[in-house]
Amino acid sequence: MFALLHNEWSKLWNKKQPWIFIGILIVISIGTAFLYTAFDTLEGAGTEGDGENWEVTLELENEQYAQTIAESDDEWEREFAQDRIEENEALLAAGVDPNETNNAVFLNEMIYVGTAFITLFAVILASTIVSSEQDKGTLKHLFVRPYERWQFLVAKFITVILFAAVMLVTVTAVQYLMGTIMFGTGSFSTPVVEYGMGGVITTTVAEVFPQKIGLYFLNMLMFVVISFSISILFKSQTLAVGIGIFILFGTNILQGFAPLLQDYFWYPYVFLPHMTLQSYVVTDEFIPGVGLGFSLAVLAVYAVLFLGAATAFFQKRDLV
Amino acid sequence: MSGNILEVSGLTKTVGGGKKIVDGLSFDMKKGEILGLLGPNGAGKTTTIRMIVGLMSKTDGSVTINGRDLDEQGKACRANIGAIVENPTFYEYMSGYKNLKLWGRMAGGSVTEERISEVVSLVKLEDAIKDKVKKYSLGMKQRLGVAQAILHRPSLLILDEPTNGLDPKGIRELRDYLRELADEGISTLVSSHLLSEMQLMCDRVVIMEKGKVIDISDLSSLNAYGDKDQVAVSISVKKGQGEAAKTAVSVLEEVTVASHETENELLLDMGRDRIPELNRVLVKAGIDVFGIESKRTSLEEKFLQLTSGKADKEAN
Repeated sequence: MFALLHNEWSKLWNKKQPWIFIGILIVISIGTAFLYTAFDTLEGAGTEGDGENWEVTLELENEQYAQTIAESDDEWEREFAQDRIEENEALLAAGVDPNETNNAVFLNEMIYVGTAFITLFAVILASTIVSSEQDKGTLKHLFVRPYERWQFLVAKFITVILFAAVMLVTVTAVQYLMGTIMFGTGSFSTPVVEYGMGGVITTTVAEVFPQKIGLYFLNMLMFVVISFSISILFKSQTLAVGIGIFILFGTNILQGFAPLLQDYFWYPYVFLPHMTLQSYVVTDEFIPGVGLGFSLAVLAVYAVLFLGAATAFFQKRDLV
Repeated sequence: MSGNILEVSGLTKTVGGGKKIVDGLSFDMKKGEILGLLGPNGAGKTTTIRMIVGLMSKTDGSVTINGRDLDEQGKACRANIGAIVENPTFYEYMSGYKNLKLWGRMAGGSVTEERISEVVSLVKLEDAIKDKVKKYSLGMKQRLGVAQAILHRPSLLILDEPTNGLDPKGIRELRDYLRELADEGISTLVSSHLLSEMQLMCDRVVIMEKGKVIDISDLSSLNAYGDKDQVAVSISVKKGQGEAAKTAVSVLEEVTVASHETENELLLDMGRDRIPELNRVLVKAGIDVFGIESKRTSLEEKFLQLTSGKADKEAN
């Protein structure tokens, strides 16, 4: 079994593909840091009382927003101002300087830029790792070896997961490095605020970052499971990559329909709405009564079904 | 346990619509034997091979490799097999050496560095083994295919259409390897639709048509000249003497004229031991003989008889 994993791993790295993926991720991580600085200075220009006076600045801002609420006829404008006041108050209460940046804050705020690409690359790899061997005809030469077919699937699946982990480590490391170079070192216990559907949450990097990474990884795992299984069931890498990416974007679209659909009893039992696990960083329940535990259970059931069907099919099929 | 490396009994494959593409196939293979599966395209050769190596499930029948049942001990059976199914395929983005390392690792630690270099030199790929496989010619890939198939010292080698895409030199080399391996006691099952190749390569052939065995021939008797063998003899004589030759030959008993198409050629069916006698008769009759050639009763003729001529057109 270890031999198979060893083989898959060495096959992977002998291709150009993973190097390209890693290269793109490094470029994106570096680019993120520069973009972040650009926006940071832009924002900083607006609020000149940087540094010691940030609390004063926020209070001044709030006064302006209060004036807007009093004067404006536009309901949307008033609502926006009200939200900003609440956010600023939360920042003041927590003692969090919104303009203070260090490597920990940068990493915490921008990690999801890189991970979006990790999911995409993991889906591509998961869809192609079995079907490309079928297309190239090497699968038959695997099947005539003294192993059970499911063992090849396990080895390939673990390879995808390991590669996703390598990508995640790369992005985290490069972003942390860039953060250190451009914003200086800071403590992981730096307080930060997270904005979610349920309002503003005050926390620290050390507390929220592991949650983000953990939930992201589980979420990505589910995308990998689906595209991996589909590529096996449909024997086509194009279809699998397509469906994987469709689900990637489809979950966002579906969430737009959530208010319409969430009253149906079956809605919580469909896997798609659960595939934004990261939102549990800031929300306890994505619809009333549906929390993280429920989401994980639903996803686990679907994952078992997908992988079970794919493995059963793979075990039995005739290779022509 | 018998001395057979492979026993196939009642092997059947039914596909959608109840069509039997392999129908009750049975044959045995002795240790160290090179056995050919011969038949026109669509006869079920590839399906048979895929069922034996476990790429396809069988509908019925049993396969025993080295005394082990394929259904019960599939992994143990496959450990004894080296296979090339159709064209050998590789990870082309890796070197030949790295490919062999991969396959070797799957043999459970029995393949050492020394074994890899031994096999590489056997297939004469020493100069190219560090190059990526995508740079290899078809003949080199075929040789690398042989290398990966014999790497783990299997007792049974299974090659499906191994001569596909090979030039005559490559075919000849492959044939030589197989003969060397057979001398080491490795048995080979090889499928092909190329009659002449099978005749040169194999000890015995199983002739298949429409999923069934129609004949199992021992080629050693076809290839070697036994003195008592019936052979086809062609005589070429001086132009215009064909009729005279035919008359002269008619005095010989147990010699029949098979054909007499041109005026200077005659084809006879007769015992090989009668050729000197034939020669004397012709000379005595004053006929100018340019050549007497004994043609072996070739596999092709047998194949054509068995498959009633029709199959040959498909095969070529």
